[in-house]
Amino acid sequence: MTAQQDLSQAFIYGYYFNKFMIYIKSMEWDERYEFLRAIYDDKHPETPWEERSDQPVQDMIEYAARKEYVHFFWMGFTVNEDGTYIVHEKIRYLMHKIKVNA
Amino acid sequence: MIPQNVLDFIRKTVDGSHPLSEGIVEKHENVGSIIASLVAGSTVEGSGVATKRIIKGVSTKDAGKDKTVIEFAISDGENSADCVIHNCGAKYLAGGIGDKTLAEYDQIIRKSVSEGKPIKIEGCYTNFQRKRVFVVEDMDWAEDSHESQLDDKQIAEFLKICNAQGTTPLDVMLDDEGLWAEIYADEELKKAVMLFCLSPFEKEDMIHFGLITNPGEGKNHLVDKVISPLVRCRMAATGKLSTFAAIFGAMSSDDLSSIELGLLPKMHHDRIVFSEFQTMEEDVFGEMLNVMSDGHYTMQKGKMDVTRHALTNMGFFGNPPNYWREDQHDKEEMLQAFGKYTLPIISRLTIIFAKPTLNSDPNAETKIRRKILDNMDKKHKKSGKNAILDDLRAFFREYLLYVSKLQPELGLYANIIESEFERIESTDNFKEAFAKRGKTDNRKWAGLLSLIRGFARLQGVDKLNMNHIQMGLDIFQESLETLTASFPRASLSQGVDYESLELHRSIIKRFDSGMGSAIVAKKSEVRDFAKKANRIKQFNDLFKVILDDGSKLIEEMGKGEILVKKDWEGVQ
Repeated sequence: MTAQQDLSQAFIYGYYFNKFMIYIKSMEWDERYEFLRAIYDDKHPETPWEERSDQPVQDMIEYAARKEYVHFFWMGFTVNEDGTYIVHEKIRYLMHKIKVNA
Repeated sequence: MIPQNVLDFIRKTVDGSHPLSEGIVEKHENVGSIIASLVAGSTVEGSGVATKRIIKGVSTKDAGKDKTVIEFAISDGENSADCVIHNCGAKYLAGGIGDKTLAEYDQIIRKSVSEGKPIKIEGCYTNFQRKRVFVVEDMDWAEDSHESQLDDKQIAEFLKICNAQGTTPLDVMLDDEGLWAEIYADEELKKAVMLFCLSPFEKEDMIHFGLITNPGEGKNHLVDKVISPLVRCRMAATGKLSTFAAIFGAMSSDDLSSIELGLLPKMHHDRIVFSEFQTMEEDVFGEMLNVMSDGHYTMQKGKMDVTRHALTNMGFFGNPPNYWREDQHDKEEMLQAFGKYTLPIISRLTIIFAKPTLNSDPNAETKIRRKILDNMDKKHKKSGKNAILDDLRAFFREYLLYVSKLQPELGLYANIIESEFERIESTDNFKEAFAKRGKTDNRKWAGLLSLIRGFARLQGVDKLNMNHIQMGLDIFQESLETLTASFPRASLSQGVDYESLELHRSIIKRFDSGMGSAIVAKKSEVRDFAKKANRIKQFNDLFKVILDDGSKLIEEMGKGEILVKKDWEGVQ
């Protein structure tokens, strides 16, 4: 991890994490499932989220409880070595939504 | 509330009782003393910017051979006085000076005219050829009124005290009982005004501010109660009273070889507010474009070709075009007030608040009315808080001058800011508002950087931190939202007005438990909430709204409860 990456990650956490949590918690679980799954799938295109039972939402609730939301949060950002980063489309949208509803 | 220790430091710094301070005195150009001496003809001093220069050659028996009379005017922005310097004999006109001194003074006048730098003069009125003229005997550069009276040690001490009290200089400047005691405004608007109060010393530092709202929102009040008492700011009047010549300068009718100084160069390093700008001629905006981006402009009149410097923050405060109606037009149409120059002007505005009302707080109306009432009763004055307000204004006037010269470097955070700008640039809002003619708008990139640096300056530091970036991003996005998002077209097509949108939004905010796509609440409680916000009519209107799927926005649930759906176009 480069110093530039460290700096960017510190900024990302400070600026986005609270907003991310507020937004996540305001969603119903159905919606939340879709949101988290989309982030997961885009981060792991080779091994996308698998529905292993007939209760995928419940599975996601358990997975989220085990891993905590911060795990998904970081999947929403791709931080390059030079410190530049790309924000996942879903998180870009939530930034807009949070601002409008603030 | 401003901590007492901070207030004590400010008071002592202003009155000079603090060990680090010799007191703060009011410094500004003034030709009043010159004008007042017209009849008495006593020797007086005055200062201002030279606004014109006319040369006359004299060769008479009394004057002497090959003598020069230089007529010029100096202006403090409000008044102007006609003056002369000369090297003629005393029989021709008293107060003559030597050739060398005359040449030196002429150089000062020329520089003052071209660069807008203030000069100080001493002399007296006397009669000359049936005219009363102010003959100048002594001249020098005036003390730079843009030089702060606070020094490094005082600023360091102030920051230390703020830090110890768990506050920041910006918090102190935004406090409702301080500089904002006489007017109520949203936090974002207050921040925008404070950024506007910084003085631009480089062209990258100019912050242009557009404020377009419905009439009666208190835009001019912002200038009268906050900006003008704090920093140097002139207001350009409406179209008919504010001519092209007055703003830019024009050829003198007395002498075609001189160009007078307009309002823009007079306010070099300061700020101008164009009030009711929608009444101005479109061509004035056209001429303004170069000044807004470059901080200078050139004029060619007759044989003259001059450059005038005007590093000036410009505020455009006005109303949407007359035909604009909240229920019929979208927000973009509000900006048509700039006429055919709408796109170039928007591109150059660093911050834009284009929304029907400036205050989003549901209780704003009550708070505003209370402030107006308190102002009429001079409550502030009677409570003895006026002295505190005067101290705050005197202190922060100098503080803002000091911090305006700080140069916070963006380097370390360049990649973060770049990534954030790319995120914003990719939004539909950005494309809709700024990137109509091309892929992006690089002026907006520069604008974002200016805002971030501006926040570092307001906090009194030359080292950028993440908080400054966050504040810069927030106000930049807020500005973007006011142009596009918070006033959705779909809602307008349903004929729903802004007040209803606001009410729906605040009901959701107030009664939302964070779960589900709707809120359930007692109808009577929601009604009371709407009543307190003076929006009972809008509350009733919301019951009539039918959503795309045919269901109602608000459903009666029985037992006095209602269900209000969140997912309405009005809150997207």
